[in-house]
Amino acid sequence: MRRRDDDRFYEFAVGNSSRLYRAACLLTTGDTHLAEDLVQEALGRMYTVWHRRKSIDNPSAYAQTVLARCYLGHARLRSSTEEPIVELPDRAVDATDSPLRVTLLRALAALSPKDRTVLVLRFWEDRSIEQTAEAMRTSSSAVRTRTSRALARLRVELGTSDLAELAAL
Amino acid sequence: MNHDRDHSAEGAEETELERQVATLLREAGAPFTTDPGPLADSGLRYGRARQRRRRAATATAGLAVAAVGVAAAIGVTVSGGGPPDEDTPAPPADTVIEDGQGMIDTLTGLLPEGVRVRSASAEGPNMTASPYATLTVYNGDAGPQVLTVRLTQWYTSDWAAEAGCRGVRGACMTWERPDGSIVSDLTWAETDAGEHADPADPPHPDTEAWLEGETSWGDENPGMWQLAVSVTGTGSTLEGRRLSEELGIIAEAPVWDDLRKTVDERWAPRADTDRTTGEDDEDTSADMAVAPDRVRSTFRELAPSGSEIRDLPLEGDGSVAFHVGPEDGPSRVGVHLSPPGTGDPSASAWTGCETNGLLDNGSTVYYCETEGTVEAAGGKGGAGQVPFTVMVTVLYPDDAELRIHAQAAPGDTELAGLTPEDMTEIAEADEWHALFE
Repeated sequence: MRRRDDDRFYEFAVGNSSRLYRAACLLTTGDTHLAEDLVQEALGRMYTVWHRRKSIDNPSAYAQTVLARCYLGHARLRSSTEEPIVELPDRAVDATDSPLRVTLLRALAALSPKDRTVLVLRFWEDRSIEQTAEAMRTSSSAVRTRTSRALARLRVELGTSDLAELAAL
Repeated sequence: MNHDRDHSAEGAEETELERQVATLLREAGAPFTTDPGPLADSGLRYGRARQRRRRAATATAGLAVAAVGVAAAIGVTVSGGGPPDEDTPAPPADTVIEDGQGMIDTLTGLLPEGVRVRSASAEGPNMTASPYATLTVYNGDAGPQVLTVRLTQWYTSDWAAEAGCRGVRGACMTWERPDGSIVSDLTWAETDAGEHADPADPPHPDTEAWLEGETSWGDENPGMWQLAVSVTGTGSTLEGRRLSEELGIIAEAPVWDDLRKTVDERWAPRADTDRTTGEDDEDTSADMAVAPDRVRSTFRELAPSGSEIRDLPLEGDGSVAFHVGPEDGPSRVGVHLSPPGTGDPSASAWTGCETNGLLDNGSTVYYCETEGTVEAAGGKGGAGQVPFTVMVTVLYPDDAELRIHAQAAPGDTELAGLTPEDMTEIAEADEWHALFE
């Protein structure tokens, strides 16, 4: 990659890191170290395709897709070697966190990685069902089903049927 | 009961729930903040290292094709299928490696006792700036395994940032040797080759050992070198000693230090070389005869109209590489041009190749084909599996050479996106030799 391309990539990376990091933190339910690793990997993968960015409609969205796939790959790898955990990582919350945030991160942590990814892509990144399906390399119907299931599970984990009440905490 | 109204009510409720979840996620995500500069820096470094790995892996993957028949051409003495100890060649003499035969002898001599070598291919420093040797070996009841050693060097101003485990998905341990070089012992994670892999990624071996260090070509040209030893087909269920455990020992053999010196003597750019293209340019391979862009555009012009062609990173030996065919199972195609006087006239002796004809301009065309197998020796992705490969070589009267090789997607028994006839037609076009002019 030429120096000028490197500079452009760096600008892109700086401009997108914060958003990628937030998405990664939600996916990892607050494991900030893992989130940083995932963002770094996603940016690294973006770097290797940077020379053909002109054929990518929306590099920022593409980077989010790469991040989601990195996360799913990581989760898949970890699931074969580790027991699942529901507890939040120590770094996920601190004393100054709002009850809402703590509650939501705990609820997200109880979901499967794919369910969590569906929710983050659909409702945090505001992707359509079709876009989410493409990002997760699955069908639209599978995304619909998974979304409904993840929402229902999330509601159960939050312990309330009225999320508006929760948001008001 | 009015089902329509029920559905409508459910839909409205779900939409409201979705809105609420979106709000909650935004509020929960917003406090996560970071300094984007360091993240961008590490992403850039990771990307550079990853790109290097991919190029090295691409080169190694390409060797499987090149290995079709080179062994016979270089007259390597390989052992048959007898008792292991009888078939293990003696350790190499303490000589400087000059050619492919030297590469094979050296690597063979470093193998642990009991390993049988069945076939081999190599190019030495007399032929390439990135010498390699590939052996197909049997180890006890395990096999076949493909063992490759390759020396690669490239420009970089920050070798330490690129060396070691950075960019590796999988188990990787690294340590520093007293001389400052870095040894890495890694086992690739399945995810890198699995469903979440970047489709442009080449396949890479199961297990590798890297020895990496700093080098330079004059004060203005800092760089690094990597001696990579890899093995595929080391399934954990196989009996017998795991060859992967020996990779680090092979990588650290002093003989490779001498190989680096030989490569530098023959191939290193002069210290005053004008490097206006930057440290990470693709066109730094010492053995490239023609600018990669021209090779790419020529291939695209000659390929059948409507072909799906996607560029891949340059291979370590300077080959231009593509994916041809559908996204979900493309052929991997490499094109390599050797300038006049550097072609290999012994191609006619390569195993599995046949002389395909003499062109009007006096060039000889060789066609080689390797039938794919589904033989799996364990490991991911059917390690030990031999892909279906085709290689067409054109040797011009001035000893320039064009080599086009194509490798089918794993599990495919024929090429996707282009036929062997297409490859022959592309290779026989006059446009290639015109690139030298």
